[in-house]
Amino acid sequence: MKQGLPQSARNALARQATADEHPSADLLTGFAEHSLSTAERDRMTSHLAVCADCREIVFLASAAAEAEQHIAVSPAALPKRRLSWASWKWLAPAVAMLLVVSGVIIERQRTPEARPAATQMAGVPQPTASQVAQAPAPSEDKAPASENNRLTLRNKPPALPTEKKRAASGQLPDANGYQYGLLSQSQPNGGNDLTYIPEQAAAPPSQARQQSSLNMATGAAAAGGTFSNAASGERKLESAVSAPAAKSATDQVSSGTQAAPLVQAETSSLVAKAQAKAKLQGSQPVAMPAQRWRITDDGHLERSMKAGEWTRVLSDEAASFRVVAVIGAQVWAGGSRGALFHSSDGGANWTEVSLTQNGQTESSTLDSIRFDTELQGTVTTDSGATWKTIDGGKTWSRQ
Amino acid sequence: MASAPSSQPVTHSSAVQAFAADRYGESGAERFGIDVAGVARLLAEVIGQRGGEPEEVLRSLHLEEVVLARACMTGNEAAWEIFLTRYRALLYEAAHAITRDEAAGRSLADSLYAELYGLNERGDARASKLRYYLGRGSLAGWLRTVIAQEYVNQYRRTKRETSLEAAVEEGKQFAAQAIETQQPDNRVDVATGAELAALEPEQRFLLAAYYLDRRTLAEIGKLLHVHESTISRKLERATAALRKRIRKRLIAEGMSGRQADEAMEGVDVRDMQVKVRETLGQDRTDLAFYKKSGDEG
Repeated sequence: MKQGLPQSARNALARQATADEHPSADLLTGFAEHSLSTAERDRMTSHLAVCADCREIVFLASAAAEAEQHIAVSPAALPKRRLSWASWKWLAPAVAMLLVVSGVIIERQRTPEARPAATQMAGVPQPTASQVAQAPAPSEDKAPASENNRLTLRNKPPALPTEKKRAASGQLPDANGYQYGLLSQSQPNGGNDLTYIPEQAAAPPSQARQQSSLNMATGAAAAGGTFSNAASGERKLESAVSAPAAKSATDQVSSGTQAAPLVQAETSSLVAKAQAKAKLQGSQPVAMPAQRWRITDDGHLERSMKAGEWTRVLSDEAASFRVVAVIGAQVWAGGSRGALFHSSDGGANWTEVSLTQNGQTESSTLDSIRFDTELQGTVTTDSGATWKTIDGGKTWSRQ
Repeated sequence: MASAPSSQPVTHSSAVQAFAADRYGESGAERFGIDVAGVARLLAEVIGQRGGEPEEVLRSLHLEEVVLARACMTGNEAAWEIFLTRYRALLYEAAHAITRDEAAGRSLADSLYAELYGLNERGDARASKLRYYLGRGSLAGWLRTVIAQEYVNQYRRTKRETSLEAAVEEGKQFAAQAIETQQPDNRVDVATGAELAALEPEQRFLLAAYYLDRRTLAEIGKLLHVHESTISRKLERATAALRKRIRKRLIAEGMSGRQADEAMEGVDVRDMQVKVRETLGQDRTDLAFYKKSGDEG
């Protein structure tokens, strides 16, 4: 505010009083949710202008709703602000510029010895670098396919320390020792999903930490080579790696020791492809896929990776779920008979947690789970018991 | 403005019956053993309680949640199972977020839960607070609002019980004495009051929320579903317009420009105690929300 409200006006505002009755909770809720008719809203606004108590109530309720969103939804799953046209109109030139610059850099970096390795990657026919380079300038309608080819060739596994040195010295990394599973252009989604599975490759600890958040892909692969694709439903993972090999990779990632990078980049635009490339190269931390959680009316835990599509999680468990809480990649779900489940990787792998102290195991229904940080949390039950942890759920103490 | 439950019989219009038949499937009434006619009756009750045009009420109604609430009201076990699954955790989380205290939040949620369940039965009829949910907003939002109401009411009750000694320690008795003797220029009050009343209700709401309640632009923006920069612009416009119009009116009353500016700011330190009292004017302690709004609670 350039110039504040005159003191006399503040006094006059404070003196305002209403002879109206206070509106009901139903009206206050309608006001906060913008669902009142115009006439009702006008009356509510007039009342709220002169009633400090009702203002307090609507702001408290609004803040509570905001707090619940932060607790129940992982940051990645928060609704994204819709871009205005003013933002979109810059997108196309920006993407074009990014592609041109990336293409030039990649083409310059490519050496003859790298090309055969790249074309061997998936065992699927791929255009050679020279074919890509010699391809006619893509028209608008052909641009996605052409871009797909180029992106496929550009994607490389995270460089091992020795490879990084070589890359720094101008040598390109060799693909020896890696088996790649690449989705070809024949994929229904035009090859937007990229998956590669290095064989027995040890990634640096920092990369292992990054990859640990991607166990949803590994878990799915281990479960038979399928994964849930938000865009096209469940599909077979087309991979040169057998299921046992994938399971091996999964185990390594889960154990957090020798993490074998397995990345599923789910993208739907050229920008997303560029981001996926950056993730694959390990230049940026890999973000958790956007997801939401809910408990159904019949007590099942469900996850949504895309608006309107929900997948049941922990469906084999007998427990009737009552509450789910998310903080970062940590997901906690609780329900009947003291059931408490924890996932540290965004819901890919789950561990049942027992709330036990002095030989007494909690058997009441959990009705609240709240974590202020990933380490400090509180669970309450319908019998009034409160359990707390300060070490991320490794140990619990009954209060 | 309050929407007390009405006991008057409501005629089931053909529009209501058609609406009930058309939306029966999505209402979820079948799982509670409520048939189409039952839904129509329920809708007619809600329309009677809310008032207004039936078409408008039906258009904005959160049907499935209203049916659930009404089924809970009658003690339907299946409805309560669903209610608990959906809203028990929400109740505790909301109560904790509002009270910012584990024990107080739990106590608040428990007491509300008892009222929702209708433990105080009158004969065969339950006295569930859920009868006041009329489907204007979501049931989750209504529960949060009721918790907030209960919290503010508790705060008011506690405040009324503050001892005289504590009040003396806070210096209230001295502030009260000062009011009668210190009166600011009456012209300023008249001009300010008149110009403030001429503002749009939304402008007065924004000014009160920002300057009196000290809400942030972000908080106000979230409540009104607009960006905080929009709130900032609106506030700036309202403040500038109000200042300009009060000043103009004071000059018309015979003040110089400088006198008008000083009068608006009330720089005389002797007025300070008066202003403290006035600033707390909206902080009234004699209100009980539900008592005045349809005996909710």
